[in-house]
Order: sequence, then structure tokens, then C-alpha cells
Amino acid sequence: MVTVDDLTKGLRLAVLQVGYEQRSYWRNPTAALFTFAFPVIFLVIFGFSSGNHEIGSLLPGVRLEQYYVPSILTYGLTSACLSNLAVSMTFRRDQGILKRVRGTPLPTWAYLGGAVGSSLVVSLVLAVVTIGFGVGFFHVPFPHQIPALVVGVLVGAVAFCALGLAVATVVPNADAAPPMVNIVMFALLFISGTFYPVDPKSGLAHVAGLFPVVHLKDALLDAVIPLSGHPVWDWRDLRVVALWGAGGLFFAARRWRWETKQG
Amino acid sequence: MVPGDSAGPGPAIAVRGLRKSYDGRTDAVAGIDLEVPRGEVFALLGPNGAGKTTTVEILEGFRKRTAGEVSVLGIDLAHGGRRLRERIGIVLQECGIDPYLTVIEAVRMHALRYPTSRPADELVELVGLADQRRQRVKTLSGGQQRRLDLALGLVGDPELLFLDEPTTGFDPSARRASWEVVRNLCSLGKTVLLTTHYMDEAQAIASHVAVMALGRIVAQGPPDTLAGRDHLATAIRCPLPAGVLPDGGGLPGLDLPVTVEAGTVTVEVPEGEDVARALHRLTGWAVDGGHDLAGLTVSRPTLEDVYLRLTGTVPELTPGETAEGDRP
Repeated sequence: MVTVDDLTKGLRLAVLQVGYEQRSYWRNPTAALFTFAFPVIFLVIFGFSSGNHEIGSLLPGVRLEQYYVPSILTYGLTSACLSNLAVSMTFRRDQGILKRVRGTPLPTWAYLGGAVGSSLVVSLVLAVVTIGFGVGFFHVPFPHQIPALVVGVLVGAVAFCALGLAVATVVPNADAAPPMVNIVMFALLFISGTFYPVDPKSGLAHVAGLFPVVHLKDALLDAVIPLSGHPVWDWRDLRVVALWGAGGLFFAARRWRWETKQG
Repeated sequence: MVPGDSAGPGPAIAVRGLRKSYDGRTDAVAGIDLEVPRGEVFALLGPNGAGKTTTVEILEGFRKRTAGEVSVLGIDLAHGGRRLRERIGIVLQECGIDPYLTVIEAVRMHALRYPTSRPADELVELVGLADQRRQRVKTLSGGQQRRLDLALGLVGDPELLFLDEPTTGFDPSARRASWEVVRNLCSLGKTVLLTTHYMDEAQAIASHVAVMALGRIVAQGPPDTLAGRDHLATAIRCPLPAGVLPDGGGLPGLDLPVTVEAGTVTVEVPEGEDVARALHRLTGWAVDGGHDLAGLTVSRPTLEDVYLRLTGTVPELTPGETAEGDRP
């Protein structure tokens, strides 16, 4: 029987766990470089090299450098949540770190909650840095719709964390994790128009539309850059992202393993 | 939970008819009974593949049993879960710790998870890592990581501690230091279930041992009397002196039954006979004949001798396993 007392204790443990996860994350050069620094570097390179011209008929009135702010933020959330959790959980399973956790009284949800919470912290920092760059250098208007942006970032981050945990249950071992995760992630990022705008009528765009990345990008775009005819609150896209997250959570919960299968 | 229940009268671990089979084929654990009294160090011995780890992992709650009754600290494992994990400590082999945390951070993080915990600084001191307390886990040597494992196993002040080959990779002084830690636990009324490959370790710290082979317990008892060890013959051994040729069942001029094998003379003195008298005859014979007995030893069979005999005589031990694997 889970009591209210158990829940408050577990919640406290999850919050404390976030602190330890944060120390570990920022001290781990691979994690901090690939999942935090890369999106920032990409933004700087793409933003400064794309110039101040308009995208054209695909997104009338939007400059390319502006476009990169929500799109690279989408990349950042994907890497800080999905890629980070998928790789780190696979590594921890291989190293027996998860098995050790299993042998302590820490509830599973509190442990994973701590890891997810830590990814959310990284996501919020990324959002602040990315939007800050956009406002400072890339002619992005100061987001008048901060609530829509925050909700978009949180829904996207939580959903991609759930998907990261789901992917960790599919990856067989730590050696396989970075290539498997990166191939899938970058393929999705490219076809979703993260690094250059994709014609929404193209076949690629239809394929991308089945996956959550493009929907998160569109939702963030609507929240960051006011476009005529687009609502600021893009519930339709956010709903797709949230559904993917729920599916990921369900999948992860069913398949979660504490130990790497031998042989 | 009733206070004092933990120190209750029942055994720390009670196992009856425990069986575990993987894929429904062979039994990794083929029906064992085990009782570990509270406040004891109990050692589970056996060769690789004997079923030790499977047994221990069932007791720790990592694996589900196929059949049998298991209770740990009076809790049936089927409803154990978190309440039980609050009261046990587990030191596993090859169980990682976040490499980017420092020693003291790792101990503190684990301490949070238990309702009662031992002070982190004291524990780090206890396992001899005080100088490394601010070092990251990834920079520790193998032996230091094992000592941190021990600290993490103890952090929740457990009533029952599982130790899976705790001193593998330790230097001799570190081994002795951790034996001292384990002995002290018992003097505090804690129970320890130990698996080890080192017979001297079992001899030094265990009050009871059980030997497993092929999923069964083949002997059980205090290390000094295991499998009638205290009734086995005392062996007097020395190298065969130069120039002496054994004849039949003895040595020329020596009035003692001896066996000579690989250049070593062994005199077995059965229980109840006088070891001093046999030794006197042997040394008298050597003095008279001018033979050198350098290397002479007098010993009871060690725990290792008994262990090898026990695990070597299980009929289907090695051939059975290969035959199974070769079957088309």
C-alpha cells in the first residue's frame, strides 16, 4: 500500500536526487558536451552563418536566423532529454548502477523522477540560453508569450524524457547506445526541418509528421515568433508530442530492466 | 511495525525447498534448505555455477523463485519489497557507482534512501577511505571501489548484510581490516551472509558455512567441524629424504604406515591415535638414519581440503555438465 507519507518522502528523495544528477551531469564531459554544448554551438554557427534574409514562401515574414532559435531549441530538448537519458540509463544498466539502486529502498519512480527532473533543469537552462541568444543577436522579439514557451518546453522535455527511457529499454548495451540513439535522433531532426526549413508538402515532411520532433518544433515556433494566422498556443502540435510521451512512458514501464541481459 | 520485531526470535533467513530453474530446463537451485541464525556470519561456499549467486539474489529480492519458502528477517519475500530493503544491505560484485560523484557524495546520496543511516564521515573512515573522501569514484582503484561498496552496503545500518565476494582484489591488510569490520557487525547483533571463494576468509570470520554444488547443499556446519573435519586424520608430511627408496606400504626401517606421492611422504594419524607418538617414531627414524626432514608439517585437514573433497565428490559435477552441453 502506498500512503501519502510514502509519496511525500518519495517526492523529497526525487528532488534530492536531482541535485546529485546535476553534479554528475555537469562533471561528465561527454554528457555535458554532446547534450548541452552542441545545441548551443549549432545555434551560434547556424544563426550567424544564415544571414538576415527571409525564408520566403515556406514561412512568410520569418528570417532564417529567427527560425533557428525554436528549431535548435527543439534539437537541444531532444538531446538533453531523449538522447541523454537513453544513453546514460543504458550505461548505468551496463555498469550495475541500476542494479544497485534496485537493492535500496528508493522507489523506482523517485529514482527515475530525479533523472527526469535533472533533464528538465538542463532543458530550462538551454531554453534560456537559446532564447537569450535569439533576442540578443538574431532579431527574435522578446517572447511576449512566455507562458506558451514555458509550457511548450516542459511538455516537450517531459515527453522526450519518457521517450528516452523507452529507447533505453530497446538498446542492448552501452556500446550500442550512442550510435543507435544518434542515428535515429539526427535522422528525425533533419527530416523535421531542424537544420533547414522543409517544405511541408514534401514526402519527407509527411514522414516527419508521424513523429514528435516536428510537432514540438512547430509549437515552439508559434510561441517564439508571432506569425500572422498562427495561434500562439499550438495545442494541436503539443497534443501529438504529449501522446508520444505517454506512449513512451507506457512502453518504458512495461519493458524496464535493471540489468543488462547476459550473452 | 512492532519495535523490537527486527531482533525477533526467528532466524534471519529461513529457506525451505528453494528451487529456481531458468527456461524450465535445468535447476540452478535444486531444492535447498537453509537457516541463518541472527547475529552470525554465515558463509555460502561453492564452485562457480553451483547456484550460490542465484540463491543469494533470490534472498536479496533480485530474482523470483520457482518454488519453495523463503523468509528474510521474518518477511516472506513475496511481500518484501521496499520494507525489506530498508533493513538489509547488499554488497554485490560488479555493481557500479556513479563515476562522477565523490566518495562522500556517493555515501550521502545512499544514506538519504534509508529511514535510519550511519553518519557518512564515520563510514568513510571505517572502510579506510578518509583520505579519498573528496575524490571522484572514477579515480579510485579497484580495491578502493570495493571498500566504497562495503560502505554503501552498511550505510542504511542494516540488520542483515549480504556480502558477495567482498574482498576480491584486496591486499592482505585491507582484507584483514574488512574482516574486522564484519566481526564488529556481528558483535552488534547484525547478521551477515557471505559468499566467498577464499576458504581462509570463511575460516576466519564465519561461524557457519554451507557448501553448494550443482544447486544443492552438500554440507553444512561450523567451519571447524564441517563434514566431520574434526574427526579426520591428522597428516604429518615431509619431503622424501634423499637416498630413501620406498618399499611397498612404507619406508625401510620405519614402523609406520606411510604413503609416498610426488616426492612427499604422508603419515596419516587417525582420530584417537597419538600424533606425538607417530611424530616421535618418524623423527627417531630420521635421526638414526641421518635423514633430513626439512619441510616437515603436522596439520589437520584445512577447510579447503574438506571443501575440495566435498565439491570434487559430487558425482556428476564435471562430466555431467559437459555431457548435457554436448547432447545433440
